[in-house]
Amino acid sequence: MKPSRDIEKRIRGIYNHRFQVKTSENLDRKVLTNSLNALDELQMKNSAQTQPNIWRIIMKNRTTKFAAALVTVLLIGSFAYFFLIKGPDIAGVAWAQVAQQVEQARTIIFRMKMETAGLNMTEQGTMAPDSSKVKTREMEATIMTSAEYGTKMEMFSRGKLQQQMYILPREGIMLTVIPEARKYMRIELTNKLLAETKKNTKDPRDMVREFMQSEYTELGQDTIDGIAVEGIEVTDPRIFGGMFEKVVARLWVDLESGWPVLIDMDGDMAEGSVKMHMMMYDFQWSIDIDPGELEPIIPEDYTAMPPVKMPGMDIDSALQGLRKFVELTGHFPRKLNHMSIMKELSENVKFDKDKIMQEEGVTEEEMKNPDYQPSDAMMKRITDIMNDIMPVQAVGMFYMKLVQEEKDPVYYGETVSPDDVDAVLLRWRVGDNEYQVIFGDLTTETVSADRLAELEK
Amino acid sequence: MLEDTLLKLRFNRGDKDSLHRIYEKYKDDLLKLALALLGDIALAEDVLNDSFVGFTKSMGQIHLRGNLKSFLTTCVVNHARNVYRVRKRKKTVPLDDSLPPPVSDINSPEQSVIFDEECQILNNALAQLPYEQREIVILHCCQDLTFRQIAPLQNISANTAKSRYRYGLDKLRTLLNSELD
Repeated sequence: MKPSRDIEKRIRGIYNHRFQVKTSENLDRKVLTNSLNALDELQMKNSAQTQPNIWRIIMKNRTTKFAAALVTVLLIGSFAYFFLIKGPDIAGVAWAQVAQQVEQARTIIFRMKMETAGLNMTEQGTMAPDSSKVKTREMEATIMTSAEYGTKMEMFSRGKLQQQMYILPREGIMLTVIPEARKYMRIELTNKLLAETKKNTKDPRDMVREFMQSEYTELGQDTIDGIAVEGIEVTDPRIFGGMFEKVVARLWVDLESGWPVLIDMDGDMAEGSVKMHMMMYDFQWSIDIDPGELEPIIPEDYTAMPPVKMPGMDIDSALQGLRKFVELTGHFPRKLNHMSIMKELSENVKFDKDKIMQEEGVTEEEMKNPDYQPSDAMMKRITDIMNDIMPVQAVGMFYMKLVQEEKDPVYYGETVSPDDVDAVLLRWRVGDNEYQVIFGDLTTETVSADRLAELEK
Repeated sequence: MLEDTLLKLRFNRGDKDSLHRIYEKYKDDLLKLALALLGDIALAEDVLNDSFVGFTKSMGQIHLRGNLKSFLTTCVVNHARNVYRVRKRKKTVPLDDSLPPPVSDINSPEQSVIFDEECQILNNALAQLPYEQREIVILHCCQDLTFRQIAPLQNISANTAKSRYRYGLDKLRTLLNSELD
C-alpha cells in the first residue's frame, strides 16, 4: 500500500472507530431551545413582513407586467396540462397490484414540490423573459383531486400562498385566484377540451400507471418516515408526456399498504438549460373529501381579470399556435418541448417598459405602490397578449399528446423556416401506413409512408 | 438520502419535528467534527450550537438537490474557523498555529467522549498542522468531502486544496510515525 494511503487509512480508522463523541442532554436542550426560538422568530418575521405586491415585483424587473402576467398563464397552463393528459393503457407488468389499487382511488390529496434551475423566474415562480439571470426557484403545492368534483391546487412560494387553481369539470372552467393581487382569472374550457379533460384526467394515478408501463429498474428497499418502502426507477424520457429531454423518475411504495408514498423526479428541459426536481409526497389515498373543499372562494374585493380561452389539443390549435409564434418571433420554435417553447418565446418577445409607463400615465414609483391598480386599458392589453400567447401553448401541448400516444412525431423546427413552403415541419403517424404532415407554409396533408420518405429526403 | 430529502422539504416549510430529527440525526457527527477541528469540547459545543441556530435561520432556502449532511458540515466548518480566528486574534492560540492538547477539556463527566491514547496522539499531531491544512485533512480524510467541495470553503482552487492536503498528510505521517510506531 502507498504510504499516503496507509496514513489516510490510519487517520480514518482512528477518527471513525476510536474517537466517539455524544452530545450531553444539557447541550441538546440548549441547541434545540435556541434553534426552535430562532425558528419561531423567523416565522413571525416572515408572516409579519409585507410580501411584495405581485405587480410591484413585476415592475421591478426590467421586463413589464405584461410579460409576467402572460407567462403566469403559461405556467399555470403547463401545470394544468400536467393533470390533463393520459398515457396509453397499462400492460400486464410487475407491481400490477399497486397500479390496480391506485387506479381505484377516487380521491387523492398530496403535496408537490418543484425546484427549477436555469429558467429565469420571478419571485412568484412565474417565468420572466429576462434570460440574463439564471436562478433556482422553488414552488410548493398542495393538491386535492376528486374524480367527482375536480381538482384544487394551492401554490406556495417560501411558505406564502401565491395562487389557488381550481379545475372544475362540472362547470367547465379553470379558475385561478391570486391573493397578492386580489384578482382572479377564469379560463373557459371549451367543450372539446372539457370532453378530453374528462376522458383523460391525469394525476398521480396516471403517473403510477406510466411508471408501470415503462421499462424500470428496481431500487430495492429503503425507509421513509419509518415506513419500509420499495422503489423503482424510470429513465425513459417518454414518461410524463415527453415533457423532459432527460429524466430520472422514482416511485416509492409502502411495502405493507401498497400505496405510493413518494414520487420524485429529476428532469432536463430546453436542451439541458432548464433543470427541474419534483417531488410528490404526503399522499392520502381514497379518503373522503368534503365537496365544499373544492368550491372556489373568491373574496368580494377581488376583481376579475378578463377571461381567456384555453387552447385545444388538436391540430387546428397547434397550427394557430405555430402561426402566432412566427408572428411574434419570425421563426418556428426550435423544439416543441413545452418548456423550450416558453423559454424561446420569453427570449424573443420583449416589451418596452418606458412606453408602457408612458401610456399608462404613471411613474415607476407609482406602479411600485402596492395599492396601484392597472387601468382598464392596461388590463385589456394584458388580456390581448394572453389571448395571443395562449395558442402558442397549444403547440407544445399537442406535441406532448403525440409523444404520449406514441404517434412517432418528428419535428424539424431547427432547420425549417416559414419560407420553406414544401419542407416537412412536423409529421406524425395517423394510420398503419399513413402520416399527417404540417409543411413550412403551415398547410397540411396526409401522406403514405413512401411519400413521407421522399418528402423527408 | 430519501429521508434527508423529505426532512429538508419539511424543514423548509418550518416543520419543527423535522428540525428536531435533523439535529438528532447529525448532532454527534457534527460535534465530533467541531472537536476535531478545535480540540476543545467547550468551543466545539458552542460551534455546534451556533451552527445549528444558523442552519435554522436558513429555513425555506435549503435546496432539495443539495446534500443535507454536507450543508451542515459546511456550517460547522465555517463557524469553527471563525472561532479559531477570533482566538488567534486574541492570542489565545500559540504562535506556532497549533491548539493546546484537549485532554483536560474532553474528560468532562457530562460528556460521553471516548478519546483514547491513539486519539490523543492524532489530535496532538493535527494540532501541529496549520489550521487550513488541518481542516482539509479532516474534511477529506474523515468526512469524505472531495477537493472540489472543500475548495470553495477556503476560497481556493481544488488543486490548491489537494496540495494543502498532501502537505498536511506528509507532516502527519512524520508526526504519527514517530509517536505510534
